Amino acid sequence: MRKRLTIGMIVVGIALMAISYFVLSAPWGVESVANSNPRMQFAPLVFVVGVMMTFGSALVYEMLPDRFDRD
Amino acid sequence: MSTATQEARLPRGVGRLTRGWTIFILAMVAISALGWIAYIREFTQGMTVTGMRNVGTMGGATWGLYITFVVYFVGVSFAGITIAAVIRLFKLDHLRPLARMAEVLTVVSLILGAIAIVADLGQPLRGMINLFRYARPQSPFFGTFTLVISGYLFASLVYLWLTSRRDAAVLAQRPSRLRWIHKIVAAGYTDTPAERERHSKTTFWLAISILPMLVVAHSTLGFVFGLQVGRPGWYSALQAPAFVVLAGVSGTGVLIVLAAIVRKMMVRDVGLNLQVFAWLGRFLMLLLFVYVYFMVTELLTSTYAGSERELQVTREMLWGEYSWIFWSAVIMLVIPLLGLTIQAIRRSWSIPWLVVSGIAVNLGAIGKRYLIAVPSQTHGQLLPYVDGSYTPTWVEFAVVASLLAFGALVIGVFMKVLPIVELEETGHA
Repeated sequence: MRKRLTIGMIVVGIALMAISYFVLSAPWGVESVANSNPRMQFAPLVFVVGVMMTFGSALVYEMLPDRFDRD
Repeated sequence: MSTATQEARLPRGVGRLTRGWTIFILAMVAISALGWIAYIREFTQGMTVTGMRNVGTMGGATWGLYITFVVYFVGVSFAGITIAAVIRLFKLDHLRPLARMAEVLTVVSLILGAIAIVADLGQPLRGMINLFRYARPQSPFFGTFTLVISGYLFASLVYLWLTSRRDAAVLAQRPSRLRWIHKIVAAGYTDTPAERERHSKTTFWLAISILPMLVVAHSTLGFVFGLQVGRPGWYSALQAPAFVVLAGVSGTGVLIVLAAIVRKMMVRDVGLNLQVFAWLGRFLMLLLFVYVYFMVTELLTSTYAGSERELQVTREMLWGEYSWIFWSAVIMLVIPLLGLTIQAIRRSWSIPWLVVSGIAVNLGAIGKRYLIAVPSQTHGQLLPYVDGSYTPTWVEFAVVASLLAFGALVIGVFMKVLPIVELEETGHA
């Protein structure tokens, strides 16, 4: 349970970063004004949440009570 | 037995409020308060109370003392977490007394860097919201605030907390007024073999993931300057690596000074011996060699083959308005380098000399950061504007002084709440 939760958090965190970076933020390129605005507002916030979730997994791994190991 | 007497038994001077410490804390609070007064003035009256003006049209610089210190503070954070991570990764047990203070230094300097950015924004709230709302991932600014401020700071905080839990658990077993804080920090840690193993794994993987991230983060900060093709003096492939190395220089310098202060404060031997300082001295010497090499290469390139505007920025640094800062910074970096090299050759290290070197390289690093930020704005115009100038006002000096004081205050308080040097492992907590 502990390992699964930790790995899950890392995977979701990295996925959030990747989605925010490549899908939700401003598209790559310099040709048009469309390249200046994010495709979804607050996309960078999603990236930051992803970073925090990834590193927050360390807290989950270390601080989850022992009873979660039995599941 | 009274609580006060029992508290005197807490190790590493935790909970022991001496007269010197109290005076120090009051002085730091007073300086911090002065900074708040200055900042309120800036917030209510606008950036006009600072020395910063628009580049070109107003003949000034929009990045001044605050940005100089943003870069400086983020730089100081580099060595802290690097040394802490290296100690744990490579099990350098003789350097273990440095680990905690290195971690604290990283967290504090990153917080100061973030506050310095806020001080630089005329409308901080607008700036903060819009960064989260519109920032482009292609921009180095995006990397600076996602990786440096949020990711790096968060990761360092997690690292510091997890590595402090065991000591907090040990202290929580003793009666004191701080027991409730120790219990919160320990967060249920009881030092069982399973917990130790988990802790060992977590810190290993955290250290592994933090090290590459911090190189990327510091390089990104360098790219903020280095990728600006339209700004002579900034556009350079060496900016990013030079940022990383100078970050190491300033951070190691601060760590030497902090370690010497802690060594002086501790009544008992806590392992901060000459061997530890010699390691720091050698590390600082190595970084200084690399940085001086970068500096000479950069100067040679810009004076030998630079464009006219590039040459003008360099001339201003070498012989013009900024020459006193440049040559002072060179002296502050080169003399410690010579001193450290002599000590390394003779294999005889002097802690007072190392402390002087630590302070000197930091003054040199601040000077270099200032020279990176300002001259290119005042003298690196590609458009036909006359050369500008920038002189910081008392408001900027007060805010920066208050940031330094606030950092010292936080470290000073931390020392009295948790051990600044890790407790020895003496069985289970």
